[in-house]
Amino acid sequence: MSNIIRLLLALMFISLFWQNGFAAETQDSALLEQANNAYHEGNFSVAASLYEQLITENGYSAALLYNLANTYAQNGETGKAIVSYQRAKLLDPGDPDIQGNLEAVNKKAGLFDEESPFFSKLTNLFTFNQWCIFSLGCFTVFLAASAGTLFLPGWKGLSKTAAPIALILAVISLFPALASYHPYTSGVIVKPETTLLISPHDKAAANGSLREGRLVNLVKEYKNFCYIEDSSGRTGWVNKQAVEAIIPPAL
Amino acid sequence: MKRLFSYIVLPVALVGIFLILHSREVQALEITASLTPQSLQVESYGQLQVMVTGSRKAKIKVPEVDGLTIQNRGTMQSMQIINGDTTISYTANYIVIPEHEGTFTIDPITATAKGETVTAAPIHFEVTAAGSSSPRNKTLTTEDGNADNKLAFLRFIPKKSRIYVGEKVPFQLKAYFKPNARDLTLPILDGDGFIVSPFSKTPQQQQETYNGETYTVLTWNDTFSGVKSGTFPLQFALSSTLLIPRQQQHRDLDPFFDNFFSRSRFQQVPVVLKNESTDITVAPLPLDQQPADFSGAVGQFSLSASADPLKVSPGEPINLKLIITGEGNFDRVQCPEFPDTTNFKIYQANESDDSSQEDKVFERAVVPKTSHANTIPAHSLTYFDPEQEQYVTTTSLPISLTVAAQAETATPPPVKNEPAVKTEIQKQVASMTTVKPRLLDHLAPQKINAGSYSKSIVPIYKKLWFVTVTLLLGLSLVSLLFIALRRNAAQRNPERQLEKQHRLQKQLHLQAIDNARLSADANKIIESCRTALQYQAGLISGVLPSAVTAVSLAQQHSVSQSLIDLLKIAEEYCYGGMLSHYPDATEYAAAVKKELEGMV
Repeated sequence: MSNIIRLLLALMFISLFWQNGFAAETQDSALLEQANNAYHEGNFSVAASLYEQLITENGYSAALLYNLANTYAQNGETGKAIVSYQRAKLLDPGDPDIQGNLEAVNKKAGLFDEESPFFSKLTNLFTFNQWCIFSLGCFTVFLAASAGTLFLPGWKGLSKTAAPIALILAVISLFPALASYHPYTSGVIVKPETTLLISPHDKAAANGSLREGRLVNLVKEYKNFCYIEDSSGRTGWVNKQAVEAIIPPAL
Repeated sequence: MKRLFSYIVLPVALVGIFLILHSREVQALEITASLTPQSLQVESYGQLQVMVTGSRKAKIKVPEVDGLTIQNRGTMQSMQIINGDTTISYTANYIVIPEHEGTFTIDPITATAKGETVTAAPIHFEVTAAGSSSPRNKTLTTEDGNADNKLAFLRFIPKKSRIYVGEKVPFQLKAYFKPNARDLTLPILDGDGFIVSPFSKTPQQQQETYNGETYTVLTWNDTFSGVKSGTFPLQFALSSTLLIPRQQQHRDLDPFFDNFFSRSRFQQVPVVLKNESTDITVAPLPLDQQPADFSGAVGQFSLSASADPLKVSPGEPINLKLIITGEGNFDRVQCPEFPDTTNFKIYQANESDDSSQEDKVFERAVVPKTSHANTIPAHSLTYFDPEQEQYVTTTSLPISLTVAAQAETATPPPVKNEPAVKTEIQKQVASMTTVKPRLLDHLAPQKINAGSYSKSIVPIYKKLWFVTVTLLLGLSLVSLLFIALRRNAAQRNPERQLEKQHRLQKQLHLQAIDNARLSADANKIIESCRTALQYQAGLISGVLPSAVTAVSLAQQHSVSQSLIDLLKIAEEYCYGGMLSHYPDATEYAAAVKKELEGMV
């Protein structure tokens, strides 16, 4: 019985460090090496195209997206760099290099996030996926404890304690999961000084401008325009070419 | 004793004598009295200060004046030592509140200190009616004759009320205050469809006569523009706290009470000022005449261009500056398109830091491709002029260049052997086209392993395995709930559970009999039949099955005779080895089975 308990606790902790799904692992090391060499020689446009080729051929990986982001950052394309860092962060949220470089690029571009409240900081400890896995793990423990109550009389005492705790944790962890869902509906401005329009056509009046690299919430689309809301609450339409969603299309 | 005198007393005495000899106190007693301001209005107040120098304390006597309330507001002492000269003074402060207009004189104020009395000069001043202008103040008289006796109000004066979309229109916003005011906020626009440039935190302040009343006026000069066509109301709001004097009643009270009540002489009234709502008609720009190259700018603009350097070789960059000056909505002004991309290679234009409120400057690098590119063509800017109510195109002058002729060869000359003499702009363009300088050297290095791949980046609830696991857990939950509910039901109804148990046991016995019949072993058959009969008889009679016999059952009437007879046959076979009444064990087993199945 104690082994079973240890197994279930391990399941919960594993969920916190779950990085990827059941993805196939293939490498094109020669092309990667070529891309890295181009980066170190300063041929950033060549390096970027090689990284993009790797992604197109093999799929998204946190390391490739991170390398691509560094390339964009060195090439002065702050918006694209931030998009790639955000994507890499979704795949590997625990990587300190990704987080560190993203902060450095934001700082260089003068993009400072507003001070977030304590609850936001708590929810941002883990990603949406990690919170979901944690909730699922707790739910599994709850079911196991409930089954123990029914079928194993000797477990009744422990199960009666563990089951409600696990259920509460499973339910509570859904709230920070929902709060950390925003990257899946967010985008990044990728053109410098993008004009925010009051209506979706080119001749519409301007309602302000957005700096390249700014994170925005994608609300809806209309023809070639996208209705966005930035972190300060400003809303308006921008050309679709000026904004890129953090979640890329599936390959 | 000698030591005490020499080491302590003597030095202290010497220092004291030194100070006394070198510190000359100005002892002459003097008095000065002043009133600020020197002209007052009814319902306002002035500050009277009486300073007595040469004494730390003095008894000051302020004479009463008919028509004036003079209230003590406190005293203070001060001492100054400058170049060895010490000056001490005693200051008393009063507020003076006139009750009616007229000319007043405060008789000489006297102060008595150290047995000496000094007298200040009399103070003459004028009190005018509330709202009237003093001849000493500069005022402006407005032309509006609307007789409205308000304490504070807001006026919005636009240059015009019919404008075009995007047109910047100047306006004045004036806040009028009669009493003192404080805690002013900046005006806030209350209207949909308009954009206003930020208000200055330091508006113009002046006295102004409006409808025969004198006000303190704060004036903001600003611009607004309409963002959509239609007629919309435009209104501004401004918050403030007015200080309105109360009625004067307590002139003869003790100064202590005077001081207490003087704090409530003025009533604080928070107000929100709003101007009369003004309808502004915003007309759309005419679409039928709109040129294809219309930039979106609205106003009056002019365009000029300059280039540097003017003498280049093909491939060498030139910094082209386009300056747009005029009046209008500069936010909508875009950089004009470069007309000749055949002979020139152009780079992205950027707004220069030289731009200001009155102009907008764009800079871009252009590179002549060949020696034939010897003129930077004229640029044009098409804008809408709201004064002329038509689209206007302004052009800059073309710029002549001297582009050195260069012989064209199949292969370019080797770059390495040429001296690297480049201008600042050439270096910038070179860096843009080949290798960019490292801007972020402190980034963490590249990763050398790609890691695992994924065809998409999706939230986990869209992944098949997560959905599968969740469904399985859901099914498990449902199953557990079902089991728990059934257990609870069983615990609430034990007889039913027992009945079910007995039914199950009976089925098991019948199955055992069938199995024994299949084995064709008479002993097994008879034994299984006997076990079944004993169990059923035990259930009916309430006796343990192992203790049930045919003889014991015969004494009870609850069990049927047929069952007793069958049990007796089984016992006779078990003890005597003889099977009576039935030809073989199989027949007997069939009869037992029939008996058991017939039992409920």
